[in-house]
Amino acid sequence: MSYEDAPTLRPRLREILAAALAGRYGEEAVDPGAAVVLPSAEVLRRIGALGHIALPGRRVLDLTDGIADLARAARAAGADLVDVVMPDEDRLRIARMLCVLQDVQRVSFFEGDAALASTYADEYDVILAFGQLGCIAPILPRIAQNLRGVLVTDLADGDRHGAEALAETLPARETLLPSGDGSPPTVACAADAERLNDYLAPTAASAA
Amino acid sequence: MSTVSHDLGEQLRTLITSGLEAPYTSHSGFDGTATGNHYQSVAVGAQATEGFRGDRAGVLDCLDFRGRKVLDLGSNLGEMSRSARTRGARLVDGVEYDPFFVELAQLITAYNGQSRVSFRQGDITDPALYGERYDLVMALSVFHYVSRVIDQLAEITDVLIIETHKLHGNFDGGYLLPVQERFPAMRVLGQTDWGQLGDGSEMRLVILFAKDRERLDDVLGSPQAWARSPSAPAARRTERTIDPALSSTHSAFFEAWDYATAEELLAAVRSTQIPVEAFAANRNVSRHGYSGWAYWLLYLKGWMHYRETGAAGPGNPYFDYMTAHYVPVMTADYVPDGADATIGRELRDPAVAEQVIRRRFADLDRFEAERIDGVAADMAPIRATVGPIAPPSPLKLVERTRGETILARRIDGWHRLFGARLLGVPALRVEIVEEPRSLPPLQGAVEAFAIEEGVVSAAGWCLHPHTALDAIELRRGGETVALAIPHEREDVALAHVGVAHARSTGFALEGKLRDWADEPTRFELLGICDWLPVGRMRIDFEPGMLVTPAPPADLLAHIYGSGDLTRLVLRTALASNALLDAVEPYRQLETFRDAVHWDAGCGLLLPLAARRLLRATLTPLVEDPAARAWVEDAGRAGPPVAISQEAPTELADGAADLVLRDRPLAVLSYDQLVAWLVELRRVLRPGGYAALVTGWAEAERATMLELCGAWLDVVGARTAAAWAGGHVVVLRRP
Repeated sequence: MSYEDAPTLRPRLREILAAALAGRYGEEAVDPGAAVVLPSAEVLRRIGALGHIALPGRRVLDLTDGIADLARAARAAGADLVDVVMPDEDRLRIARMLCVLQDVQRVSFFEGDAALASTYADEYDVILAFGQLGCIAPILPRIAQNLRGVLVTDLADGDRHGAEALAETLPARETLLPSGDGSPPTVACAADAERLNDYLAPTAASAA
Repeated sequence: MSTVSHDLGEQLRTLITSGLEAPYTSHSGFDGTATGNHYQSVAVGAQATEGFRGDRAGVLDCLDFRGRKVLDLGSNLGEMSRSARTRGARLVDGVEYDPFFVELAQLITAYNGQSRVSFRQGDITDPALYGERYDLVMALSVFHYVSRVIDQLAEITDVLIIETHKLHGNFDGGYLLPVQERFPAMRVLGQTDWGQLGDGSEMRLVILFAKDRERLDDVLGSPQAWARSPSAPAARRTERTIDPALSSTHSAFFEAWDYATAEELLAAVRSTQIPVEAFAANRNVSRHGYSGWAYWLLYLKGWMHYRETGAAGPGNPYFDYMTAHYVPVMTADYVPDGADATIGRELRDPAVAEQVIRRRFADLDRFEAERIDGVAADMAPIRATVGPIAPPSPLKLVERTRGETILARRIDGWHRLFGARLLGVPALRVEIVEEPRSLPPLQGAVEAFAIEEGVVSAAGWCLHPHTALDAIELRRGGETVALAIPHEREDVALAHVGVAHARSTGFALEGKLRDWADEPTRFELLGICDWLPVGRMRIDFEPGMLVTPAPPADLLAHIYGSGDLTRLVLRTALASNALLDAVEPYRQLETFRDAVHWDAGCGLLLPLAARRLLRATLTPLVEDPAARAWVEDAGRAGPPVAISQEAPTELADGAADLVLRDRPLAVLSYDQLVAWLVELRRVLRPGGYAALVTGWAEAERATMLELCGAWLDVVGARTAAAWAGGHVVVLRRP
């Protein structure tokens, strides 16, 4: 028997995942053939923003809501490893199984809370915090201590407190995507301009 | 846990279980080497599953994984990768060629919720695989493949951990030579099991290599694993359903009482008068026990009496027989065929005996009343023990649906099986328990041994350090030669104060050997607990060994503290083989040229060792002048050389490539031991080996190993080859 003829558990895994995703997100949101949630415009936009960050070889922390689409995209873009923190055990289990189904390596999952300082014990090059600015704003100084590069987030309208905290802690800022179609602008922030430039992909860096 | 997560988890676990049980054998694309599914024992959540390989936690515990980036080559189901991460590795990447094993590894890791452990499909013989740096690379049981990429490995790591394949005298040439060119510093971490096949004597080593001593020491965590016995795979248990009518267990009865229906048979039994006293004298019942027909006749008579009168105690013929005759038959020297070695003890108490008998009758009552036409699902399964080697006359059970034959060594559930067969129950559940292949050594002594006209007798004592033994069995290959309940040994109890079960350790076994030929034979004494062997002690028999020219008894007593030649020769034969067995996996015995037996006493070991060291000159080192004179006169080996504990020997530097020492190092003082190790290092030539004996106590052994390791490389500590004197240690001069 050659390895091409080896048995596989993926079809059954795909069925299990498709059923779980349909139960959670509705059947219309799921592609049962691939067992993935069809990405929303927002998710596609966020993945697009990653194209502006120099990810190869970086250690990434993903705090973003969802089932780690962004984490897998970051890894596919060359991140050395991606850690995902999420509080919801159902999503956590689904996200882990999705990584198995898609044969993704070095994306790890931790049950945790983005609002807790203990989440940031390890050093990271890039932190992805889409939709999380409000909850992490109070602990941004703690986050900045172990951030070697940039924090990427969106600036929701009306989150003045979050924007101010960000400007104070990580003053160097680059807009990766402007606001549009109801989405807030996406920014990359760092402690200083030099660091920011190091972490921007060449095209974005030259624009900055 | 939420319902969704729980349900998903359950589905994932089911998927993993189906994967682990899939009948799949992987064949290496490189050379076609076959690897069966479920090679590694893996933990799926809290459940430990038993694979081909045992637990290797002991050797991993020797390493400091904390904060390190680890590459696991040939990661199989990922257990070693996950173990490294559990021990603090920062990140672990596993590479495995077989995609099915990669899938299973990923699924188990996801189920267990472990982070920073990844697996990918890849060819570990491909030099292009090695581009990224790692703090530590593990290549466990894949040396056949990675030996081709040692240069590439040296580019990406400073520390390499190798687990050998089965060692067969190829430690130096097969492993050290190819690796030490790029990773010169070496430390053997411990030995690991070979797997479920074989007789448990095979072994692998886990070796830590590094670019230099500093890096090696940096990775070494806790002390070496030698002081702990390698954990053996536990007994495997599976459940099947059998057809009682096809079992061979009660053939003697059903052939003797051959009736068309159960009713006719029972009527015939009812009309038969059985005076218990007269019947108990029948050899069929006293010698054949469960395998004969007479015992079952008594059992049925007892049941009929019970049904008519309700009495299962005194007055019931079965009770009367069991308590008055069966228990005395179950003496320390003899257990009838098939009988439970522990039941005799229980039956000594009449109240307990009545309970046991009522329980046995209850099965018959139920089978008769219910006329079960399927599997009695709510009835506990009977148990069948199967061994690595089938006994010559196994008990045959037949699997119900597929018709497969199960060759059992023992059955726990003879009465239930009898009742089911008698009363036409079509199916019984049976738990198949496979005896463990690797067993820890028993401590003890064979004090008498003889083989006369094919009848072997052995007497002595044996002690398991933690477990009270129900029985002691003498076995040759798969053949159970004799089985007995341990008898009391006051002297052993006194010598092991604090070990509560040390008193019941004596044995006096006798049994007839099938097809006996007067040739070198290895017997095993097995300690049995709950129907399974839990430890072993060997008896190595060689024709003529007991009639060897004997030193005078007073000289023997002076040197060994005992003038009992039989006992000394048996002990020495065991020691000789244990020492040489310990060295043999590292280097083929015929390659040794200059062997030294240190502290050779009266030279009893020399002729025994010489039979295996075919091309070596054997030099005995003897301290006692009278013993030296006797050894010289006997002319058993080269001229003896005088030694003393205080002074160096007259041997030249590097005079020996093998040193044997069978008297425990534990008798030496610390200073004497250090002086001896210095001298041993001087006498051994580079690449030479020494096989020595430490004591029994683990703490003492650990200290001894640490001290030996300061002067020479500790490359082996064979618990499997342990003998009455302690554990064998193998040292190698770098």
